[in-house]
Amino acid sequence: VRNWKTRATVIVMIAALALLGGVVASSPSQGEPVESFAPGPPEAPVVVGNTTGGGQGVSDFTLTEEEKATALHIIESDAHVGEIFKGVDWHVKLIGPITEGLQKIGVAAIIKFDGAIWMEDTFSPYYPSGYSYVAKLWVRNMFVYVDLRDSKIVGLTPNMGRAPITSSITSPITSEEHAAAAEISLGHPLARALGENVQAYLTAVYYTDDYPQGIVLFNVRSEQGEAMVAIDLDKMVVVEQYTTSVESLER
Amino acid sequence: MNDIFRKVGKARFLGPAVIVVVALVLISNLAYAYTTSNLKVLSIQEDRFYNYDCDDAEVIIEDFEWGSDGTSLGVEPPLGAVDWTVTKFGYGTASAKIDTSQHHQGTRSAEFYSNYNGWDINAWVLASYPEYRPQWRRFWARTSGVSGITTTGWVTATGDGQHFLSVRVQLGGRLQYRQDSYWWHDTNPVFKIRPNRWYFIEFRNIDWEAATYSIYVDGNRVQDGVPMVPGTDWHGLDYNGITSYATDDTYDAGGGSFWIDDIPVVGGPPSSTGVTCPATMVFDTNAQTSKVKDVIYWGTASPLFATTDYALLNDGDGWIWDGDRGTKKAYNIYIPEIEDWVDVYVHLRVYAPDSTDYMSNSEWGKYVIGTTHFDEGSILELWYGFNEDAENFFAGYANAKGLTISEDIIYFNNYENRVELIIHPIWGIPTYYYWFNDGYATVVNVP
Repeated sequence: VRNWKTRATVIVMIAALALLGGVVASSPSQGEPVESFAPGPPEAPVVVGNTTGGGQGVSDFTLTEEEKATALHIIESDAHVGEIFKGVDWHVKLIGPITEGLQKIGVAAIIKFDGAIWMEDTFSPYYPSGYSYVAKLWVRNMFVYVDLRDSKIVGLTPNMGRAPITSSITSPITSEEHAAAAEISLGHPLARALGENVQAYLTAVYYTDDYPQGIVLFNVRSEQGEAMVAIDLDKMVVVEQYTTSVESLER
Repeated sequence: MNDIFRKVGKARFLGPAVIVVVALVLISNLAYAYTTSNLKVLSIQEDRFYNYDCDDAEVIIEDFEWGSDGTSLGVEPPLGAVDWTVTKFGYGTASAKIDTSQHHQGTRSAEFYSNYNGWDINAWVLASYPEYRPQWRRFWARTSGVSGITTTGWVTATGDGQHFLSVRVQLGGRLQYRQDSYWWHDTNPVFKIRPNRWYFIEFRNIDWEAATYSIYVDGNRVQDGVPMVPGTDWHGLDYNGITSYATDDTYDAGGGSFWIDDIPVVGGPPSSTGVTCPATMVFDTNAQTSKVKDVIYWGTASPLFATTDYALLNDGDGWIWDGDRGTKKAYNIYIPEIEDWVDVYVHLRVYAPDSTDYMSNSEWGKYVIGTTHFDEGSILELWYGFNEDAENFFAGYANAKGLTISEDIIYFNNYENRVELIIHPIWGIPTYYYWFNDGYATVVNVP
C-alpha cells in the first residue's frame, strides 16, 4: 500500500502539473496558434479492474500541424463561411479530429465570436446526409466541420446564444407574431414563476420538418431566474416538449 | 450556485492556486481508499466501462421478462418487440418456454428442454431483427446440471443471410464452435462449461468480408479466427437473427435444459466506435441509484429528451445489465473548450443492478456507476458529449448539496479526445459526439 501511495502521489503531482500546463496553454489570445484538443492521455498508473488484455485502450487521432493548417485554410477561404462571418470578429478557439469509427476523417473547429451575432441561414450540420434546416438565431459560438478527404466544409452548427438586452435586429417574424408569441411565453407558468419584471427575448426561430412555419424560442428571464419557452408559430401554442426552466451558474 | 460549486466545476481553469488545492485534496483522499478494486469491465478496449449509445433506443434487451407464455417471448414495451418464433420439433415434452426458476437478471429466462434420445430432437426459438452485418453478438447461457444428461444447447446467429456463427455446449461441458456444415470443434485450449452457471458468450471481431469471428466467454477470448459457416438457411434462420435450442444427440434420453437470457438484439459492438458515454463518476460509501437521484433529480424533459441507455458491469459477481434514462435539465453553462456560455441539457445516468440498486465491494462499499454528458440545448440537440465537463458539473452539484467529492481519482482508462461522427439512434442522422474525457472518474461519497 505504501508503494502504491507513493506512486499515486507522484502520479497526482504529475497530473496536477499536466493540468497546470493545460491552464497555461488554454489562455486564449488572438493571433496565437490555435489550441488543439488536449495533447494526449494522462498517465495511467492505477488501472482499476481486471483487464481482459494488455494495452491502454487509448486511441490516437492527433491532428498533424499540416492537417490543422489545411483545415484552417479551408475555413478561412470558404465562401459560405465568409458570408456568414462577414463583418464580425471571430476566432478559432479549439481544433481537433473528427473520427468515424477508427478512421480520422476530418477536423472540427470551435469558433467563437466577439459577443452575440445574429444569423439567418440554412445550416447543414450533419455530414454527409445532406440534412439541413433553416434557423434565425443569436449566436456566440459555433462548430465548423471540415472533411479532409474532400477538402471542404461539410457542416456548420451555430449554438443558440443569449440575445443582447438591446438590439437593432429586426425580428425574423412579423410584429404581430412576435407580440403574440411573447405574450404567450410570458403567460407560461415557468415565466410567471419568475416574479416581477420578467422579460421575453427572442433567441431563435427554427424551421424544421416538424415546424415548417417555424418554432420560436423565447428566453424569459428576471432577476429570479430564466426559462426557455417554445412556441409553434403555426398554431401559436406553447410546445411543452421544448419548454423548460433554465438554470444558470453564477457568472 | 455557491462558491464551492464554481470552484469544483471550473477548477482547472481558475488558475494555479486552485489546481494546487485540488491536487492536495486528491492526495489526501488517495491515502485512504481506492487502491484496488475487483471491478471488471467489458470492452475490447480492456478496462473501459462500456456503455451503450447515449440517448439511444438502439439497444433492445431481450430479457424475457415480458410475454405470457412460451409462444409470446417478448421485450419490454415500448421499446419494441422481438419476433420470437417458438417451434418444437421434438417428441415427448421437449419445449421452449419462459422459465422463472433460472434467470440471469430479473425473474425469467428462456428455457429449451429436450428429453428424447435421438438426433435433431429440438425445442428452439428464432428471433429476427434488422441489424445488418453486426460486429457483435452476445448473450448469456446456462446449462442444466442433471447428472448423466447431455442435452446440448446451441446458439446460432447470422447477420447477412449468407453466413452463420454458432456455438454449442457439448458432451462433457465443452464449448464448441462450428466451422463448416457438419463438424464441431473444440476451442483451443478446450473451454469447459460448468453446469448451473451463467456464462456471457460473445461473437466479436466479426469480419463479414473475411467471414471470420472470435468467441469470447466472460470477457476472455477463447478462440480467434473462427470461420463462419456458409449457408442461406439454417432451420428457418434465413436472413438475420439468433436462434437457440436444446437437443439430445447422444442417445441418452435427454432430460436437460439450456437457458439463454439478456440478449441485446440491436446495438453496437464493444469498441470505440460504439462507446458513447464513458463512466465518469462513482457514487460510493452507501450509495444506491435511488439515493443518488434523491440528490440529483430533475426528472427528464420528455421521453424524446432522455431515452434509456445501458451499461454492462461486473464486479466479480457476474455481468450486470442496467438501463437508465437518467436525469436531465437545461442549463446555461460555461464550457471551457468553447470558452463560452452555452445552452445545454446536463444529463446524468446511473447504473446498478435492479435487484439491489447498488453494487458493492470492500473498498467502495455500496456504489453505483455514473455517466455524464451535455446535450446541445436547442430543439435539435445537434451534438452531445463534453463528458469531462459534465462530470465536473455533476461533481460540483453533488458537492453543493453537501456531499464530499474526490475529483478525478479513479483511473478507468477511458480517455478520449475527439469528435466522433455517429448515426443518431433515434433520428437516424449523423450526429457529432464531442467525446472528451480525461480517463479518470470522480468519486462522490453518499452517506
